[in-house]
Amino acid sequence: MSDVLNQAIVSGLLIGGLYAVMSVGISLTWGALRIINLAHFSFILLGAYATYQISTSLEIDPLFALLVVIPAGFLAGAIMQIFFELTKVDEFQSLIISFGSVIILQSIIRTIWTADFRRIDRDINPYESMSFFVGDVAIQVPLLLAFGAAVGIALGTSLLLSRSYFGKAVRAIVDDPQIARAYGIDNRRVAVVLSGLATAFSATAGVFIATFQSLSPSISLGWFGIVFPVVILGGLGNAVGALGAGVIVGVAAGVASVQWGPLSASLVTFLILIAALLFRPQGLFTRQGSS
Amino acid sequence: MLEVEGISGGYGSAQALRDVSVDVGDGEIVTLVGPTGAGKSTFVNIIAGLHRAWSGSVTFDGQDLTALRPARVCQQGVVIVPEGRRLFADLTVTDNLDIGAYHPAARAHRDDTYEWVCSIFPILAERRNQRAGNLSGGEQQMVAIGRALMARPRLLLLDEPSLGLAPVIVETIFEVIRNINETGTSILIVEQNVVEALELASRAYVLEDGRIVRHGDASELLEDESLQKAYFGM
Ligand SMILES: Nc1ncnc2c1ncn2[C@@H]1O[C@H](COP(=O)(O)OP(=O)(O)OP(=O)(O)O)[C@@H](O)[C@H]1O
Ligand SMILES: [Mg+2]
Repeated sequence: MSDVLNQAIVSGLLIGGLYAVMSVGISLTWGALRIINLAHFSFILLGAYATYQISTSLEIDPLFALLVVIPAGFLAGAIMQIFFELTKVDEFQSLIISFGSVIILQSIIRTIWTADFRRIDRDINPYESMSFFVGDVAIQVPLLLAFGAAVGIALGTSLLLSRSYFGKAVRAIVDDPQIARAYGIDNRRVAVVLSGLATAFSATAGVFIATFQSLSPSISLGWFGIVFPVVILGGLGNAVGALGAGVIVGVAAGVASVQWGPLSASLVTFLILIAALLFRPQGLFTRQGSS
Repeated sequence: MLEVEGISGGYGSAQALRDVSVDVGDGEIVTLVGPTGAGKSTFVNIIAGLHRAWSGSVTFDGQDLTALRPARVCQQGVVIVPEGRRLFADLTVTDNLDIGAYHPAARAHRDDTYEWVCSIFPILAERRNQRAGNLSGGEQQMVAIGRALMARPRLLLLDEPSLGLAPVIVETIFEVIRNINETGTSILIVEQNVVEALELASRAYVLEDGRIVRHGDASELLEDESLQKAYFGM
């Protein structure tokens, strides 16, 4: 294999981790709460801009922004879910309403930070161009960090869902909300906490994005074509699946773009998605028979 | 211990229950029998808080349960094993039992109760890591009863526990219900298996078309000729 191809595979794998962090929040709330919350895209972007602002204003390492972005993301997700609970929206209505919130948040972002590109100054952002070599293959440090976060989030979430009382409550609500309530599960509270957690993950993705990329309000448009394939390939509500799917999409798109040019990347992504929908609509990583 | 007074209720404008009163004494097994569509499930669901009555009251140990949410009813010690079992099919057997012990008072005793439930249904310990949806009907009914026991009920509401089960399994389940009762748990059991239910219970109510048409000692109803005609085809 050529060096170019090796590099494409490794970079694709690493960026697949970032894709997973960007997707896991939507996957969780869609799978467990039956809410398709497009606002996650805005929260990724807000997380990135907040990181830019905190790092630039305080002249500190951008990763310190996690200390603010994670709790703020949690709060935002919790508040959104309280709104969804109060308005009793169904899956389709949540799509429409959250699309409205995307437009509002997008214009707020545009008002605060303008449409110009924003980038954290290299003096305070050590990660942007940091990389090292393994053989002939360059490992970009900001992507490696995001990948590490993805592994942590995927394993942590799946442990939380399988082992904790909170996780059992989430899965019980998915199966039979009425009986779950009958045994004392406060399904609203569980939903609010889960949505908070999911949004904290999305906002975290924004922090990593800000460490290596220039920001403009329109960059989030390109994320739809990555995140939805990853969410569906990984299986709704499946955090480990999202990581696997992120890696598959990252590698496939990376390899396609060195083989057939950058335009082929999104085509390949959607071919994978369509194949998955045809042959395994429950996602690649979800056991048969579970939802 | 449980006093249900003058319950009326239904769905939309369709009335399913008319002025139904039932009581269950401490440590008693009471059965509610009646044909399909009589309103039996509606009635126990109202007691459990899963369905709202139009009028009437539910009192348990002097506490008014009528307007309580199902979770609060469960915490008060009235726990339902719903019709059709309604297990969390994607969860393992253990996770289903753990949901039974979700409320704080039950969770504090989780390990002891779990051990007790596994001693009642040894098969559940063997199957503990299996998906509940993959179990046989009888095993699923055991999980459903086990899950309710995990909530440490003082009154257990059983809605047709024999539904869809082979006669030998039904016998086992009824035996277990008797044993549970002997540990001090009161039982209100809804059944279409009228003979077995009357043999199990000390008192019985017959519900037809939303009304209580007969009630009395189970042994007396078992002897009753008109009931025999209607229900046992004799
Ligand atoms: N969710 C519902 N919506 C509307 N009507 C209902 C609903 N559930 C039950 N009913 C109606 O209420 C009446 C009583 O039903 P219920 O399920 O309480 O009877 P049941 O005695 O439990 O019958 P079965 O022995 O078949 O379980 C029936 O006429 C039924 O059609
Ligand atoms: Mg019924």
